Amino acid sequence: MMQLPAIDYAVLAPLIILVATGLLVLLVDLVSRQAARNVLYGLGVAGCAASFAASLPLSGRTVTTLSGAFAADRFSWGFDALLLLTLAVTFLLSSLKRAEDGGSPGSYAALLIFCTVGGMIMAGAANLIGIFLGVELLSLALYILAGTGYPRQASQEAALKYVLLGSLASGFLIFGSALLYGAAGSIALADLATAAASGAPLFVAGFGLWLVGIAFKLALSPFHTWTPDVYEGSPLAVTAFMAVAVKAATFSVLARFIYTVFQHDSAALIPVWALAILSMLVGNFGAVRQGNLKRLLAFSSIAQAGYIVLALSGVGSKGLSTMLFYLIAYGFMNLGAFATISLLGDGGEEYVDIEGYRGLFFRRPWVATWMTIFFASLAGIPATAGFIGKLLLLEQALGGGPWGIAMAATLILGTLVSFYVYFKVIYQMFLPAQGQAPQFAGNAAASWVAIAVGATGVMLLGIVPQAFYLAQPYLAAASR
Amino acid sequence: MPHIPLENYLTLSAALFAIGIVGFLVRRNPITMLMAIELMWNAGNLAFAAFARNFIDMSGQIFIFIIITVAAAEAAIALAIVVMVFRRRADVDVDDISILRG
Repeated sequence: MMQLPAIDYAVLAPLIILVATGLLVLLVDLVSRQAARNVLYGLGVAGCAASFAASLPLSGRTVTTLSGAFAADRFSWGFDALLLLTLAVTFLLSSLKRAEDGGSPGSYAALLIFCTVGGMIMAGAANLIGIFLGVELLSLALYILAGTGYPRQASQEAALKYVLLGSLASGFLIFGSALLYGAAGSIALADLATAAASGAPLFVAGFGLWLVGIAFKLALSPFHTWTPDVYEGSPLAVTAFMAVAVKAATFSVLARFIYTVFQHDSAALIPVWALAILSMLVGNFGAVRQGNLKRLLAFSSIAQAGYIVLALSGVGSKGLSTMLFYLIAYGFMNLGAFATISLLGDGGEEYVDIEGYRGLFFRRPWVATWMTIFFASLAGIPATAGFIGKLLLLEQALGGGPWGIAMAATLILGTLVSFYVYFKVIYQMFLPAQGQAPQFAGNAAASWVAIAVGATGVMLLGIVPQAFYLAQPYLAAASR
Repeated sequence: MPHIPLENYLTLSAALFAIGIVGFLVRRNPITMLMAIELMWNAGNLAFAAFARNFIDMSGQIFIFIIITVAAAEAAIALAIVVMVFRRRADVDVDDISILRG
């Protein structure tokens, strides 16, 4: 007699609602040939809200379903909320029509939605198949999204680079998963813990290869080389989504894996710490010589990924709260920064040359003010979200032994370098203006809403951080 | 039928994986690079099959079906992107696709 897995539909409801929204968007696009893009994006935002509402009853629960393959706990709930917020803001940013954007808004919206579904699967995945499926759903949709600005050659190039290097990374992920399965005899993360404790060579090799795949997706140095090119070539809204959603979802996978499988002082984790240190250095020093804002933010995201790894280094489950807090802060400040960039643009061109921001404060004072706030938060100025986030990370790392202290020192060094990077941009905006004032790109109302969301988040997280600090985001079946 | 030990399957799959990586690194045509990637994915499949047989466990085999399905979707998307780039230029060589750098 075959045993059928028990499926708890209440746990899967947020995912099901989001998938249904994606299909609905496609259907509406098909039926009413000329549906306005704002109608489709509005449907997408409504889907986010409905999915979030369905996830609210789950916020206090710690359950698994599908025979333990999918977990719904406080941790995955936090990531779901962050991913849905990112999706909604991305729709706002996408509503600015740019001359170079090709393609159909219907499939664009549906791909963004399916991408987010992939991210939510990753946040709850409790076995290797779930992780692989989530990563691939997220990545496959993003390969196409990177190319949606295809009338521009740069966007085509970004899509090609992303699909080639992303699939290579997936190859590492698959082979690593196979070796992990061979070492443990099971694909459930909880069962991998026994193999990890024994330190079998097969397990170590499997974890190494699996980590290479994950580090590619996270853009941890030295696997970051695709990041600046893909960020620069993709349409601005897709870049914003990529920077926040992909990083958040992949970090949820790494955190769940490490917390379920390893003890906090396991020697197998040393490569993770080394990747973090290298990323902080490469990201911050690489950003120094960038003249393109999207590339600068790409290097910034490499450095930030390094910072976030610190949350995993300490003892106890506080690291998970810290990671979630920093990712929420990172989400608000990046979405806000991309939203301010999206406001400006002459003739549909993206306004990404840092030189062009010279004297912006005297031309467009509000844009410059908001941008200053987001960049100050990225640098980590007190009273912003970035500052509190970095303090929490430092506290976590200092409890993490010699490697934790080394990472904390690198974080401080990296932050000093990043002051130069971010203040270079801010400084430009306050120089005396020359030449033509930059024009607003079309109807910018949606971008102003996105800026308001980002700015409110950055300030609230900086001033009343405890309201956003999810104490004890429990993991279902964690070993520590 | 003679019994083939697990080690032989693993050696073969590791060799396939290595050939895939080398192929990806030395070839400059995106289609050939995709074939190299496909080889790496299938090296993983072979390892999964060998382990699943060894443990008499179905989850490894299910993983293979999922990988094969995803590989089909991935190939469709990757080839579509290559065609999109190919329409712009007659030859496709990744070294020539380099407006984005820095």
